[in-house]
Amino acid sequence: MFDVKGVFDWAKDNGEVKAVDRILIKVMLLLIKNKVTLTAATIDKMETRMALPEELTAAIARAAEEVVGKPVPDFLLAREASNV
Amino acid sequence: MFDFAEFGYDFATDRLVVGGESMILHCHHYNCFLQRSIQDAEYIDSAPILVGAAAETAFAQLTNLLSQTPDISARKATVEALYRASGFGLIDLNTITPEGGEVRTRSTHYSTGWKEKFGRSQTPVAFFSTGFLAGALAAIYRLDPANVQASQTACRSTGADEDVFSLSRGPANFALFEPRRDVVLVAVGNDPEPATSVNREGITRAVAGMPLPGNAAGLITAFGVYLTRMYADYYNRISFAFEQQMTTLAGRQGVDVAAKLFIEAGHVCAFNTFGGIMTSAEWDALVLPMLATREDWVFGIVGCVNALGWGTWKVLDVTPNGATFRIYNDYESVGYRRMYGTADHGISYLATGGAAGLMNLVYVGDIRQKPDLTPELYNRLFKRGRGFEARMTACQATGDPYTEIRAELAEAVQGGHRLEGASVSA
Repeated sequence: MFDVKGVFDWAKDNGEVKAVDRILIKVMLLLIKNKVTLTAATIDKMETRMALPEELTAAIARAAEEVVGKPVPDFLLAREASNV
Repeated sequence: MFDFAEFGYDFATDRLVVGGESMILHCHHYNCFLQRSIQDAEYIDSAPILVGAAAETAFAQLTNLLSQTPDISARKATVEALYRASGFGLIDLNTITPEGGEVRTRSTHYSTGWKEKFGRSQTPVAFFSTGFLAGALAAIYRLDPANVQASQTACRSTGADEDVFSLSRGPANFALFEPRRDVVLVAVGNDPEPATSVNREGITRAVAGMPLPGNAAGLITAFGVYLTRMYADYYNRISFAFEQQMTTLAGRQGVDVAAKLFIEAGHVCAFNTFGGIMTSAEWDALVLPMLATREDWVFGIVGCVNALGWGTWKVLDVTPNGATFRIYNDYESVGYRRMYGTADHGISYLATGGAAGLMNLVYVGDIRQKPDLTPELYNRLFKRGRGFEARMTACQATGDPYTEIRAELAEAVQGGHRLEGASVSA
């Protein structure tokens, strides 16, 4: 599982002003399905990696690519050893 | 030719009502951004909302305007002229019959605007024109819109040579909404405002009197943007119907995210339209001679805003660190109450974003120096570093006697980004 915080930060740096909100609205149904509450503010303040279901992290990566208009860098999608 | 001046701008409430519909000025940046924000929620079938909202407003207005015109050719000519004068593009309705038909055009506001703003689209984008034509077909032949179908089969935004719309009879393939209630407007208060040498009323009268004619393509090019005289309740319906669906699907979390994008649409509007106005030759000729201080620039642009049909804006206080705008009969609140009654949260999103946007232009972007209105400047004003953020402190849609927006200077947080999460609740 990769760290979606890095993907959100990348989208914020490389995308338009409300890139994070556009990603969130695109994946909103999956957030609800997985009972995850995420906002741009909580993502901003988060200091550690987020443990999220795989279908959600994959959807966030896809949405980030759509919003920014280019592929998410591979190093951000590299899987990390997970204790979750 | 269709002349909006014949209907008379109401300077008591700062609205233009044509055939029973409030018409307001907005640019292609706002129009396309708002539509894209709604379409971002791909799990909501937004096309029927976008088309249905246009059909609803166009049908209501045209039924009113055509009530004394029995001749079909004359009815079609009036619709074509209104469409063009509104900056929606060009349409030729000679091909349609009571059974429908095909409308082809090489000029549509949304197709042109979308391509210029976002580049080529993968799918057709002219939902507004699709719905307008459905409403027009029904109004011209006195049909029930519930028995009209409309779709766009080709779109210039996708690379096609022309936009093609197909009209036919059958159960409506777009959303049909509950009838709207009568408009209830509030009296504009006599609020104390800071002293200024700016003659806002004079500016409002001058700007409202500008003819803003469509060009040969039926597009209004002014202040560096494509303008439209759009139905206020088109924006209101698509925004609030979308918000209701988000509430059903995602509760408060969904509404909060949608609200941020609606407010961002207000930033986009302010940056491009207000910025375009404040860097225009018309501004230099009409407004600039009245401006002595930077605060006067805020009063000056508010004088222009009051000519857009958005309701009556007042400036209760303004300093380099913040401003309070009080708005009577803001079009979002008026529309919400017509459609859904009293709101349980603030819904004046465009006003919120617009207030922050104009403060950013004046105090952060130093619009006095006429900077180019580039994406880089937009990012500087709304994404990184210091900038204004706004929140609703009152909203007429919730039962307050006016809408009030407080814009305050926010400092950048770590990393240079703007702090996210400004309250939008009234």
